[in-house]
Amino acid sequence: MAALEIAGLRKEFGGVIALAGVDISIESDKIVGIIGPNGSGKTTLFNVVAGVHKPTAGRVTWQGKDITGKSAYRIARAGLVRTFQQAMSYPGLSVRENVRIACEHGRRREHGSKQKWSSPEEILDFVGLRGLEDALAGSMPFGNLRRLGVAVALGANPILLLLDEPAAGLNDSETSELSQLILQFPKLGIGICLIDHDMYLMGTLCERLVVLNFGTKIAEGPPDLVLNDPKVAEVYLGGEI
Amino acid sequence: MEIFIQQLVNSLSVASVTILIGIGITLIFGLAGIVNFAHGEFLMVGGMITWFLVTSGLNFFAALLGAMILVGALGFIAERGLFRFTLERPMNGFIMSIGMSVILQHVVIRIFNEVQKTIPDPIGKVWVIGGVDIIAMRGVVVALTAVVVAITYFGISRSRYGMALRASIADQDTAALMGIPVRRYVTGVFVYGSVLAGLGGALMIALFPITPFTGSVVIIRGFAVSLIGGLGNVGGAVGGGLLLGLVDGLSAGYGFPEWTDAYSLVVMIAILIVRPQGLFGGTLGPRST
Repeated sequence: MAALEIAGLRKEFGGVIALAGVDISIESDKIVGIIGPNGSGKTTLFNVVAGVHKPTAGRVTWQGKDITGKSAYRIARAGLVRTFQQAMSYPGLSVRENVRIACEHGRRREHGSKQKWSSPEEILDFVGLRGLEDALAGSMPFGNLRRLGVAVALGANPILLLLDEPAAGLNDSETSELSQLILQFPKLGIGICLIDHDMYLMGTLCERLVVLNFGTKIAEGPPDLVLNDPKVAEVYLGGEI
Repeated sequence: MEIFIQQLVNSLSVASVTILIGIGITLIFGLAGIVNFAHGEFLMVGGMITWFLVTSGLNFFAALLGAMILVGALGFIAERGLFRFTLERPMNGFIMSIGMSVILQHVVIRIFNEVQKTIPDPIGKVWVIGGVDIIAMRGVVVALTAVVVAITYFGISRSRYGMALRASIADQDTAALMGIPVRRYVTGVFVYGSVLAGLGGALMIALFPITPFTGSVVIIRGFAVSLIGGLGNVGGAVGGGLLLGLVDGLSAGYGFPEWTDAYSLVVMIAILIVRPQGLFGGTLGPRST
């Protein structure tokens, strides 16, 4: 059974329907991508699942438990951790302190868990920020801030990470380094669900793609099938390729 | 010189009460983003509870503990029952708190009466230190305040809870993502600030008489202290409280006692014109929404 089950999820903001009843299942040992044009409801989907917004209708089940409408910190502590498009860190704190807060407040670490980190330093080492532990987060360049965002999310000890446009604003070499990092997560027992506009990145990283348009799922499956689906091409290009 | 030292100790004991109220306001306003104009009444209620318990025969220090607990409970009820619903619009909370301050004054008048209340000096001793007579209770007030200041300062700046608190204030979404229960921290800060108001009230009535209207005087000084020091800055509230306390105490001893309250407000206005962020820097106040 999938770790995260989203059923009939609906979210309206005033009169605007951001999600019009979405069903998605996501495993915690795979990399799953969610694509769709701007305004198709991708970020809203993450926000509702992670407890930032309450859904209008529908049900979110995490590891067999109903978490619909639970507060964001409880969902994070249950191991379902969402990241943001913006840099997620406190500019006035050091890199180490940022990760330490997440380590202290996230999901409790059990003995014998699959993940190999027990300290902020090990996580920073893993994401490639060794040597920058004492730097102020606010003083770091953008690419490093993204890594720090990932490190903070790892500090919360996730089972499934929801990554919202992790590669936005990164250059080609930074993007390929980031995708190397993301590819390692399933081996460490962390599932990934990510949103991005970079089709090449999504095609190479993801085992499965889900396509949203106007708040509904219009396609789902392996990247080569989905990306060649005429319905998907129409959504992106307004016609055939 | 001896008179100067006595004035200094007197000023410090007055400053202690101001510091306690100022720390409460600086935490609640600067960190939780709530403007509670009834905070002065929380202190007054703490003083009245202390008076009631002491006149009922309880030891002063037990009464002080009782005042802290009961005012903390009052803060919990106010935050959970009222301010929770105005978090997105701090101005509404501010107006509501003005109403709450009037209600609390009149509830106290209804239960007791409007006459000022005093308790006998809880220690009733005079220490002679280096040839200077010091009323023991004043020394105890200063010492207790120093301990509370130290606990608060290190709690906010060093402990994991203080760090999580500051993180919650700076960016709620990221804090929640890290697994920090943001709303619980807001409640916690509010209750802690209220407990300090209860302590301030108990210490105040050990030094001076308290009336049901004491809160309205105290609140102005509390806001002055927290703004002078920089919102959310515990060290700043201590510095601001010392500054006001010394200006008040020494001006009353050496100059024009009738101008005492004016001095502190002039100091506040001058500092806010020159340094709007406060002398020691702080947060920018409640989040604007």
